[in-house]
Amino acid sequence: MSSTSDICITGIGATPPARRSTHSIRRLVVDAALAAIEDAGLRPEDIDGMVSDSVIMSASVPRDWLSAQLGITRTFDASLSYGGAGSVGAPLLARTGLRQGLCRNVLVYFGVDWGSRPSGPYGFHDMYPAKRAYEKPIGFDAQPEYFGLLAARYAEEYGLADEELGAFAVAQREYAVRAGIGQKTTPLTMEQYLATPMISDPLRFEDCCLISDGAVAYVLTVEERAADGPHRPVYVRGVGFGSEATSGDDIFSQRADYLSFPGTAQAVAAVECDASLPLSEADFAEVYDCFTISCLLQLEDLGLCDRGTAGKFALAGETRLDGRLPVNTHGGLLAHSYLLGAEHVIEAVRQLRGDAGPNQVENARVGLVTGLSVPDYALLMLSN
Amino acid sequence: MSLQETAEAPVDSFGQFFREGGEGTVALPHCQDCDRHHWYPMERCPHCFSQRLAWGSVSGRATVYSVTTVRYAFTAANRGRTPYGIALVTFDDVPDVRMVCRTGACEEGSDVAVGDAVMVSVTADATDQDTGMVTCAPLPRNAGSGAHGER
Ligand SMILES: [Zn+2]
Repeated sequence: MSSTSDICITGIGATPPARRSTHSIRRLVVDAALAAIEDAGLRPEDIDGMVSDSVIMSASVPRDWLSAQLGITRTFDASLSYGGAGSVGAPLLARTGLRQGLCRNVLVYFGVDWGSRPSGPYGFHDMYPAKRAYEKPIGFDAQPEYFGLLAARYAEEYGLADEELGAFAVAQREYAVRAGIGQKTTPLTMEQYLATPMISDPLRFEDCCLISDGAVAYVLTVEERAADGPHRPVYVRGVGFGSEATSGDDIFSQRADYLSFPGTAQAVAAVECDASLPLSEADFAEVYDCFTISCLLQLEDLGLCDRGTAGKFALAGETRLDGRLPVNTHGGLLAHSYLLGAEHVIEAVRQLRGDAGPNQVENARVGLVTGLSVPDYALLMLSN
Repeated sequence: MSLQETAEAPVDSFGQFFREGGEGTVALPHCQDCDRHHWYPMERCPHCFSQRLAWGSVSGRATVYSVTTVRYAFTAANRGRTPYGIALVTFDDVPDVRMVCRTGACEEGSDVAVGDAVMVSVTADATDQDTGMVTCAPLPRNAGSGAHGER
């Protein structure tokens, strides 16, 4: 039986943001999953579909292991991409399972222990042959360098004042301090930002995201059942995924359109088609911010800012709570915690439930979430 | 541009690149069908998807497309070696191929800037010839062969 029902997020769960957790990655995922299921007003045995990213969870917390630990019998199982694009694009798969009547309630989950794992965020790069044989030996061995090169080229083409990048870091710190639940709890002024050490020019320490241990989960079901839950349902208005003919080896050096991320055009087209709504209708956006420059580039890729203007947009305060487009309203990867963007989905749901506390965007109706896992990209439009 | 093709060498791994490269000479995978070079090594030409690939040499003369100064050692191998520069360069012979190179650096930053003419050098590792080091060094400005970036 297939339907065209809307699907909704009905439950969310997240472990407390932490640089290092005393719990294992598997324990963190179990905690987040149970919290999301309870938040949806369900019991674990009500879950019959699961979606995760294909790489990180499949290796560290496989769906069969989690199912066994939660007492879940699955009639739908799927995975896509890795990291952020997996967590943000998951509703694309969940929708298929739910609309085709293959399952009733889908659990999406993600977690990382890069805060406590010795290789941290750099270890997984070894899966790329060019990284091992070529890039690591010459010292091109970490994300700040890849994004430092992007930022330096952007500066050459469009101009980029230090304060333009800083405006993202400062604004997101404001959100995190107000929320009071993130890894960063003390304010960051522009002067303090400018005084932090350069890591990979022009990226400073505060341009780089946090490193964290933690997990999140969320539950999806069809509109008809969503009304039974304890919370206001949050609708999946559109979801899109894109990945162009660029490999993980080539993405940071060979892409002809160097200053845009592959997959964004396809993801945007899919979302605008689903939603019959342009992205510009969004009241807020949770944008994958592994670095300030990543957030800046995506605002332009998504057409939310013209090319060469996103830094000025941020510097004018437009990404702050009283700006034209509040961005990363929990503090994002820069100030809340770094679960590769999975928490961006959770924050968007909080906003659309009206549960975002001191960071609540007034009259929030439509929110965007992006997941950047180069060369993959996922985009989600949610509404209440 | 002069090309010395070596059709027998595997074009999908790095060994030949490090063994054939040298000071001012860079071996790049070259497509026998569309006559274009590419980087990194791979099974099929990314431009026309031909599998008739061979190694061809180009001049290491290049232009800096972007550059960053790395001031933090992310991996053990770079402890005590910061700051160093990482440049993304485009070859003057084949401007649509970019290559990541190590550059020198002082406290003020990398010794090359965007738009600078540089010479790329490839050195195989003494014990493992399948890996090595790729550097670029500034050329005197008037020695550049009308070097230009992609825009
Ligand atoms: Zn070809």
